[in-house]
Formats: sequence, C-alpha cells, structure tokens
Amino acid sequence: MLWLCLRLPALPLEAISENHSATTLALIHNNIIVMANSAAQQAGIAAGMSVATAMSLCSTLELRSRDLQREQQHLQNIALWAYRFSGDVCLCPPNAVLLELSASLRLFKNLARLYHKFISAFRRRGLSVKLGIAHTPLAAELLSHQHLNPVNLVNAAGQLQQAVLQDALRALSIRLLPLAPKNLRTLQEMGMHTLGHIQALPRSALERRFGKDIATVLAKLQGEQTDIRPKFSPPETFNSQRHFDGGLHSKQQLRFPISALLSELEHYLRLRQCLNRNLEWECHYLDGNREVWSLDLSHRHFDRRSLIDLVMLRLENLSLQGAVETLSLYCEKFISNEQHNEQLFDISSNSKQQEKAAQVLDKLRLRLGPHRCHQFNLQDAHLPELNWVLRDAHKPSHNKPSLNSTAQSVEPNSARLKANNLLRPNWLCHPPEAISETAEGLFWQGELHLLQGPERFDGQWWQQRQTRDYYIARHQHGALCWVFKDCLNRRWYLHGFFG
Amino acid sequence: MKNHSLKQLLDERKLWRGQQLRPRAAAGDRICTGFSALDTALHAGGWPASGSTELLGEYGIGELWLLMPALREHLSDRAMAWLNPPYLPYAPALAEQGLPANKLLLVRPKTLADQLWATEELLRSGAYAAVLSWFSKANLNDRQLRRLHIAAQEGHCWHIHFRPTNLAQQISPAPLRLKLSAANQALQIHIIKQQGGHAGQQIRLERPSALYLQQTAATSWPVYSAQQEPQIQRQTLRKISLLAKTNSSAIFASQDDASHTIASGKEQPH
Repeated sequence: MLWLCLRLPALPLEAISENHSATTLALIHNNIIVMANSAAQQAGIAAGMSVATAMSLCSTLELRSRDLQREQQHLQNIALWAYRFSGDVCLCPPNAVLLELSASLRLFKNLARLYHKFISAFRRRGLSVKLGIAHTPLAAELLSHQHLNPVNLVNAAGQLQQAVLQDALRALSIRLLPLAPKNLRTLQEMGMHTLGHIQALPRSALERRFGKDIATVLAKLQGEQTDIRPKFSPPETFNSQRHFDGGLHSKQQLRFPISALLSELEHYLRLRQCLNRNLEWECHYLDGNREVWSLDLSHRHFDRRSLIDLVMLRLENLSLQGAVETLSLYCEKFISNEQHNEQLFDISSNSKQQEKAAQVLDKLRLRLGPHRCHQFNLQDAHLPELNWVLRDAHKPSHNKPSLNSTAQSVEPNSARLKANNLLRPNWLCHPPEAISETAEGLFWQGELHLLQGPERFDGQWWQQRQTRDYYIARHQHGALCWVFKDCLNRRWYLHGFFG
Repeated sequence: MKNHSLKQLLDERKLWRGQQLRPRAAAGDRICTGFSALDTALHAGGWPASGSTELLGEYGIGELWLLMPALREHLSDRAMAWLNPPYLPYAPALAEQGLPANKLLLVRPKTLADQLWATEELLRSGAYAAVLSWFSKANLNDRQLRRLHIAAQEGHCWHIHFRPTNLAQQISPAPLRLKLSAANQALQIHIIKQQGGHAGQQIRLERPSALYLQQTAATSWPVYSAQQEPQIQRQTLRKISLLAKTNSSAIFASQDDASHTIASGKEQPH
C-alpha cells in the first residue's frame, strides 16, 4: 500500500476566489482573521488577529467571511479530479485528499512521474499544494504537513527510499498527532518533541500513562492496525459553477466559462463511464434574479466542441437580463455508455451516420423548437389518418429496439397490403379538406371526376363510427386525388393525392 | 486559322465542350431513375447522387412516384428528410413502396429563414441521402439557391427542390431542372436544363394503369343504409342512367343532396 496525501493549505482562500493573490485579502470568522493571503501577510496580518487590529494595520484590506460549504465543494472537486489517478480516494476534511497509489503505479510508470504530474497540474490551476507519501494513510496525512521534496524521497528508478521516509517520519513534530491537547502538552513537557522520541519508548508503558488513544495512533501510523477510511465516490449528478466578480455582460464572454464547464463535465463523464442526456444551465444575475434554461441531447458520444456550438445556438434565443454573476451547470439524466461491438465493415460507417444524424437533429430541434421535427410510427388501424403517428424526432438509444421492431412489424403488414393490391396515395391531406358539391359535380380548386371506387372503410365503431367510401378522382389539372364520401353526414372530402 | 484560334481557346480553358463533362458525370456517382426512357434522356444516365435537382410542377401528378425507385436505392444506407411539404407524406403508403417509416424525417420550420437554414444544415450534415424541400416563398434568389446546391454537394446529399411551374424561365444554379406536367394517364417531363449536353428533351412516362382504371359498373356507387328501400332503388336507377349518358364520369345530383349543394356552392373557390 502506498498512500499519497494532497493537502491544500490555502483552501479557504482558493474556494472564495480564483485569483486571490491580486488584492490584500483576509478571511474572517466571528470577527477573527482566519486566513490571510500573501499580500496581506506581508502587510503584517496574521491569523488570530481581530478585525479592528487588522484594519489598523492595512486600511485597504478586503475582508470576506469564510464559506465552509464552498470549501467542502472545492475539496470534492479536487477529489473528483484525483479520482482519475486512483480508484481509491478518500476525503480528509478540512483540507486534504488521500489517494491509494500502489495500484496506479504501473499505469503511470513510476512515482517520480506521477509526482510531477500532480505538482504541475496544481501549479496550472494556481493552487498551492503539499504532498505527503507514506505506507499508511495516517503517516501520509501527517507528512503532508511538511512538504517533502520528491527528489529526496524517490531514487532515480522511481522507487521510494524507505530510509529517507522513516527519517522524515521520525522527525515529525508530535504537535501534528491527532491526540488530546492535554496529552500533547504533557508529552512536550516530558521533552518529547518528535515522533521518533515517542516511538523509542515502550508502547505498553505509553498506553498505561496516556490511555489507549496514543497506542492506536502509533499502531495506525506503523500500519499495525488497519485504518479504514470512507471511500470517495463520484456524485450521482453533476453540478458545477463559475463565479464572475463584477459579472459578465455579453454572450460571447460566456463562451469561455461554458467551455470550461463542459470540459469539467467531460472528465466527470469519463470517470463514470456514462453519457449525459441533458444540460441544465442556470444564470444568476447580479441583481439576484436567476434564469434556467435547459438542453436535451441525443448524442451518442460526448464531443465538447460541437456541444459548445449547440449551447451557443441555444443562448442566441435568450436575452441576458443583466450581468451574469454565476453560471452553473447541472446534469441529472445519464445513460451508460453503449458497448458497441465493432464490426469489421459497414457498421462503423453506419454508426457514424447515426452520430451525424443525431447531431443535426439536436441542432434543428434547438433552433426550430420542440414540435417542428417529426418522425413516423406506423400503427395498425383501419382509417388512413390513424395508422400512422407523428412523434418528435428524438432518438434516445433505448427507443431503438422498439423502432426496429416497428419496422419489422411493418413488413408483414405491407406484404398484406401488397397482396390486396390496394391503392394508397403518397400525399395525405390532414385533416381532410371539404369538397363542395354542385349539380355539375365535385369541386375542389377545380373540377373533380371520379375514376374508380368505392372502397368502403367502416371502423372505429367502438368510439365514433366512421363509414367512408373512397374513390380515386382526377382533378381538372391532372392530379389524381383520393376523395371520400362520409356516409354518415354525406359530405365529400379530399383526403390525399397520388403524388 | 480559325481552327487554330479555337484550339487556343480550348487550351486556355476559356471554352470547353459540353461532351467532355459527360464521361466525368457518368463515371461519378449517379442513381438509376428506374425508368429507361428517362435514363437515356439524361446525359448522366440517371439522377445525380448529390447536388440540387429542381422539379417544377403541381402536386399530385406523380412527382413522388417518379422519384420512388431512386429514393428506394438511396435509403439503403441513409435516411431522408422532408422539409416543409405541402401535404403530409403518407407513411404507410411510402413504407409499402419501400421507404421505411423510421427513415423519414419531417421538418416543418415556421419562417423562410428557418426553412433555408434547416435545409442547409440537413444537406451539409451528410447524414441524409436525400432532402425533399418546399419553401414557403417560391422565388428564392440566386444566392440562396447556390448555397443549397453547394451544401448538398458537400454533404453528398441529393437535394430535390420542388418549385412551381412559373419559375421555369428563371435562371437557377441547379444543374438539373425538370418541368413536370400531367398528361393523359402519364407524367410529361420536359428537361429544361441538364449538364453535359443539350436540354429540351420531352419524355412521357406512363403511370400505373391501376390508378386510371375507369369503372363502368355503376351498381357499386354509394348506397346508403339510412335511406328507405324504394328510394334507394329509384336513386340507383337514376344514377345508372346518368352515368351511362356521360360516359361514366360521375355526376352527382340526388334529391337528398340538393339542399346541400346550394349551401356549399357559395363556398366554391373558383
């Protein structure tokens, strides 16, 4: 077992604002300074001061109250990010995350490379981090308080040097140990300042003197007793947001945070091996209003670039009511990634086609609105206006088998129709248009001459009986029309064209 | 000397022979129309597989019937889209003719701008084998038409653009334009424009005779159960005599419907 602890000493500051080093900033809790950023520290401000003292030292100091909930959220995000390196991640509140690495080492070649990956990733995000590595979770946690240079810990082959690690552990200050303050004070008064001092003493004597706690801590530290931590698992829904101090005014400015949120979502989806079906956006305006807009998707794999275009297309229809202070993205509908069996020929191009079709459908539905794209479902019914159903063109993958089954069920149906050799028009007037009837004949934008018929449709007796006689008629202009006489109200209707 | 200057023009590509285009089009992708007369009349030997094709004519004269064999071939791999059709495509009938219902997409945008945009997206996407389009404004300008044609070529999509007959004289960038009109039991096709040679061919395609079957037996004309026995007989007899006189083109004038006729006569559009 090899545990890595990521400790974020400046987490409260980083959770509040992303570029906290720009101004002199301090966090307060109950009128006491909890944490000051580097600029404020240079001005002489330290944790534990009262607000009045701090303000007298630095008049330009910006004070913010500590937001514990946001810190928690921030730590969760870090854990989610760390989840890609190891399947075994635990949260250690208030400001650390633990990872089990022995299983991941093979993937990342060796420890030194992994170490560099972590450091550079955190540096890119502008987060300060301290790393601790050890064979037990508790030891890693304690070691992370003093940032050890990996160059000393890991040799050229990328292996951990046990001797150096033991030395570092022995040199740890006992103030870091999770023990009761009273016991710590007594230990210090006894002249024991480092962990090495305590480890030199007989364990049973210590236990008799200080209680069971100290023995447990030492045992966990050495790995003699198992230290079970609750495992972190990615949340069921995706929720992330971006804050903008002062707000954003234009839609183009929103493009960058949207892209950032989507890339976050992309990582989340990769971790959970699933695919989202919706995007719920929420804009918080500076004046306290909020606006929610959502996007339903039918894509088959996540493509960030085309998604950005879709989101911007959706955004075009909206008008921003003011400056956007917070943009949040929320996803709750997920489906598991389809495991397609790749076939050598044909199928791959077919799935690419479907992918393209889904993309263009998403676009159309977004711009034209929900009830403008349709597909047909065939049904078994007697009346021509009832044996098909228009449904919104939207292809969730679980509907596919049913689609195929309808297609299959059509086959015998069409075979039956063919056998009967029935004439059906290619165009249907829906609803049927009334034909006027005069002494000379039938009129619908010109004269109609009946050619053949009738074909009797009699059905729907369980609802409202419909009895119709269908004829084929020739229009004055040459078109062939499908007309019927409703036998119940004795009127003529035009129901289609043989186009 | 004359010949020499002609050669020069040809070499400089300022002038080219129409026939040179023909083998290229033939070697490229084309779809058999399913009608041998039309195949021979078209220099390419069939419908183009991509790009715009204009069909000018009325509805219901067999314009879909003309496309059916080609569409059936097209739909083997990709779907097709109907954009803003004047009536509803009747899916059960199309399914019977080999266009499965799950491969049809019906898009009905409200405004002309949306229609143009949607057509272009569908054509360019490459996911559709054919897009049949009708626009609410018939007289599109050259730029809009050209955009659609280029989008169709990029997406390898066959764009069939239905337009009214009166636009036949207008110039269009579509490489193939056909004027359709109804003839006696047939569809009359006039090729207005085509690539690779002269246009102006007239083709007549006979429609299925089952459609034009002229019924002579008048005994099967409607008989309504609601009416009393003697009345029905009188009426049928009357009809038979009428039909016999007018050579089976139907005239309907029964006493029962007379009041009705007067009421609806006012609503007549013409």
